[in-house]
Amino acid sequence: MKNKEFWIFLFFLGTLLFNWPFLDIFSLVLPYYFFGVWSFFILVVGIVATLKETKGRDTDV
Amino acid sequence: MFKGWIVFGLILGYLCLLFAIAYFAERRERIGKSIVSNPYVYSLSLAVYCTSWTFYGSVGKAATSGFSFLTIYLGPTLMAALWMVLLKKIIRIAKENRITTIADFIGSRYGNSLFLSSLVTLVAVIGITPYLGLQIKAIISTLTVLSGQAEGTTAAGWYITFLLGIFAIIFGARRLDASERHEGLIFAIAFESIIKLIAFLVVGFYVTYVLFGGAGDIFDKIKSSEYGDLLYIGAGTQVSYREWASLLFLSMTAIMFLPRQFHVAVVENSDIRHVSKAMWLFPLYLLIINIFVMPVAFGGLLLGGRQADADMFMLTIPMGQGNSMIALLTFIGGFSAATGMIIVESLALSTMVMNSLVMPAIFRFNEMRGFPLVILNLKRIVILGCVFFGYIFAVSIGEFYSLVDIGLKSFEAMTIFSPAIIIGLYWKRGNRIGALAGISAGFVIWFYTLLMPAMLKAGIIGDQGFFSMIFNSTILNPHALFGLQGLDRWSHSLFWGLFFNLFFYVGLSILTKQSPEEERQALIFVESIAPQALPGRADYSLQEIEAVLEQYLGRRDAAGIVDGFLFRNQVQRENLSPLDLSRLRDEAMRILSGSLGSAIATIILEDKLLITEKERGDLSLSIKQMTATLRLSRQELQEANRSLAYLKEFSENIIESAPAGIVTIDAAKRLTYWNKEMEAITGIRRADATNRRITTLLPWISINTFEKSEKRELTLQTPSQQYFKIDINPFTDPSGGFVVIFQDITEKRKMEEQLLQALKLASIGKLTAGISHEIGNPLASISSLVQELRSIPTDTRGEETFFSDSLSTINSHIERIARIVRSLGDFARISTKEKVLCSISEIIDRTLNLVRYDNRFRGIDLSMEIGEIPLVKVNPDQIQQVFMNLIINALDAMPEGGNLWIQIKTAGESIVIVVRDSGRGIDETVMEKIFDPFFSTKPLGRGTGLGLSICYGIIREHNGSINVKSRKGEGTTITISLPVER
Repeated sequence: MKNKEFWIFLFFLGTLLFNWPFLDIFSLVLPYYFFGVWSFFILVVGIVATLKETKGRDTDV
Repeated sequence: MFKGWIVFGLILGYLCLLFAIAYFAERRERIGKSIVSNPYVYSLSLAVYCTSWTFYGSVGKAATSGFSFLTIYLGPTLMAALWMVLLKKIIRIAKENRITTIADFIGSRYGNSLFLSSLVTLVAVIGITPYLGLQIKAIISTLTVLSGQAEGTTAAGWYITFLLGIFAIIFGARRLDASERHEGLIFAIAFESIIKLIAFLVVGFYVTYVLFGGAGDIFDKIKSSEYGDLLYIGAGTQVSYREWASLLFLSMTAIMFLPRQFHVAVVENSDIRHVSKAMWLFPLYLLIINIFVMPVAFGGLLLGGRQADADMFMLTIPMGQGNSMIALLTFIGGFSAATGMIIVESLALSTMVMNSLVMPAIFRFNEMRGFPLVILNLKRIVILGCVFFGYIFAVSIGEFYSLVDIGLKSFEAMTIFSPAIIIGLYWKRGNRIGALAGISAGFVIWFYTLLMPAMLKAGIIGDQGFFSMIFNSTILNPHALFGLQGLDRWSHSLFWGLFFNLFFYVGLSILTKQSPEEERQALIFVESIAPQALPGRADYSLQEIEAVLEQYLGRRDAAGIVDGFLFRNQVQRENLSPLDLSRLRDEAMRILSGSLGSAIATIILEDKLLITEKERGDLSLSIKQMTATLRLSRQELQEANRSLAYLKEFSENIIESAPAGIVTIDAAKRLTYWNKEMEAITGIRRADATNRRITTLLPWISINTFEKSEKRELTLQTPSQQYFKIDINPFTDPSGGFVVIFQDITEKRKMEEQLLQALKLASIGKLTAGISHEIGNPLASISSLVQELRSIPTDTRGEETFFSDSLSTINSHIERIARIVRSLGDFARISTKEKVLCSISEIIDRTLNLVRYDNRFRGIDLSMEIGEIPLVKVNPDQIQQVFMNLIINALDAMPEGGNLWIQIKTAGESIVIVVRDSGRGIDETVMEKIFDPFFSTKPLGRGTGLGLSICYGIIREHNGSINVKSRKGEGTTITISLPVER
């Protein structure tokens, strides 16, 4: 998967995870769901951005 | 409760601390040790997004609507995932086009339209005013809570607003700053981000773990209370999924297009690589600052607070528990959150107002005395105006709404810009008319659906007459436009705003044409092409450029800019080339754009720098032609890029894996490329070699080697006794330079010398039979004479004559043997490498003296013709080996005997040696192979096939030539030519 496509995919995945129906599915544990998924999202962005920075790959659209 | 003067003193002290911090950062920048240019300060500065809305409003929203406050922070988190794609592109374009505000960005995209940037400025000022008001309202409200009295706090709010305006001027408008970046301000903002985070965490920890038994305890208690539905989203709760999605979208556009966010993320960015870290550091900050929002909100409710007062829970809870220190810390945190927003936002807005509204109106008065000071003072007035505009909103309308409600109105306003910017970055057809119509339509919808109801609620407009008619109508009800019911007000306003915005933007862009300038700008923005410089048709001088700068920046600053340019480029005022002037013009454009906006800077420089009407026409034509030429599709460019990248990698792989040292040097003899094999050969790493002169790194190469731009091949020896064959090929490019290929031939040289030695010994081997006969004869004579002498009785040894003759004979035979052995020894020793002045005829004589020992030589009739020949500089051992080889070959060709004729003569600047025999000759079919290594016409085992090949190599090394003429059965003639090198 190319650089640009990855970030767009992550954006839409995150938008989906933070909307219906997932919020409905996890409605009983919403505080934990929010902060858990939020932390995980930040972690994924951090790891991938750091790896790509190390490899010197840049993206521009 | 705190006395008013204590709080005021605290505010003043805190602002002074901020100023000291900003001043420190600016001083560090001036001495070249910036503490701001790093991704951590950059990420913290982005946290200016968290204002008093975050500090107080989020708690209020959580207490009234549950989780919906999180959308304000999740939106930016999701958007941050696209920063690698989107924000970097915006930063790149902004830097290349010298854009300093969001109005500039939009105006520049659509053909450098001043009208469009003015419209964007108006929308931004009106849209952000509620947000500024929110901060001031928060300050007034917290002052009221802290001091325990409402009286006088509004007036105090006025003073504080004024103070904040002054500080905004101090931070960002002390002088007409030629640079669009303010490191001091950014560092102060980053500091404030830390303060508000610490304050929030302290309060959160206090409420969660001191007043309650942790977050779980709070959530359990709230679940079983009347506020239990705050833990859910969707049907039956305070926030529907539709509203949730709308709020998420609002915050996504806000993080990109709020003027203060654009300013810190784009304009103040010092290194685009910082974005990679900010992508996760900034969302991490948002996560941490929101961890305790719900515990504090629910804790406040559980402690008996009302939902209507929830905005102030952060302050009222610690005060209610008698913890004044935490209350003070909270106040400082909230004040930090508000001040950062007010200062940056008012600066950003004032820059937009100055660039798009004020400067276009007054720039023609630039001849006026003190014009730069006029601009500066106007900017200061605009800053104060923006701040007080917010104050007026806060005291008139703000009291009717919660902090979050006020903030969301501004967020909705920012969505107005999103189609023009986002679609404009990827769709070239988007044009100015479409953008104007879309933004206007979006603004009208926003104003009508959100701001007018607010003004109605505040009593600014009355609910009677015309307004009553339209507000209560089915079609034009601001809460249910065109009869669309069932949407919350944010979703409703967002839906209609985006609908009409997109409709007009896309529709009119398709239906109307772009101007050439719009086309050009569209290409620059969409394809991320760096803007081309204007064709250098204009006639301008350094004095004219300096005069323009002086008019807008002042004499001192203008002189500083010009002197700085001359110093950096090492040029003198009197010797500026047209290229230097063009660069200075670009620098002036950049600086004026930072101060006045790119649209107005373009107008000023075009107006001032003497472009005639004809040149304008020519310029327009050039731009059209440039646009047509630039019209390569993205796909073709990407394809070309891919091919180029593949070719580059292919070439580099070949060069790096070549078993020869390959270097390239430029016209100044400096190394521009140094491959891996060169590192192995010389032990010098590429990083240490690049940009250094080749003669410095390889002193055994003479600088004269590269004097002429011609192909050359030479062999050089290094001080460490290595031999290199060097091929020099000049570049055909006019900029000059060479490709130089090094091959280590040291081993090859050694092998050649060993081979020569082996050939010598082989030659001696051929002579063995003859030599043993020559030595055997005198030895037999000596032996016979000795026997005779021994047989004579001792008493008859008086016949001295016989004894004397016999001893003389013995002696002469011994000398003869000694001569043979000596000549063999001389021939067999290892050759020297030296070339010395020699007589060719003496070398031939020495050779013939040895060859005579070969039995076959007896049957040869030798003729010699030696003319007057000069001495020549040759390697005598090597030349002797050549003659030995040729003569032995001739003997091989005449086994039954024959004629051998040797001629030596002078021919011009050369000596010619001809060796002719009457042997069996060489077949025509093999003639061209006779100098090939290992080629032999002799039976297997009778010859190595290396003799003539080595002869050829020796003669070539002496810069001579060797030719063979032969016919089968008619003998062979070998002609050697050696130059007379003295």
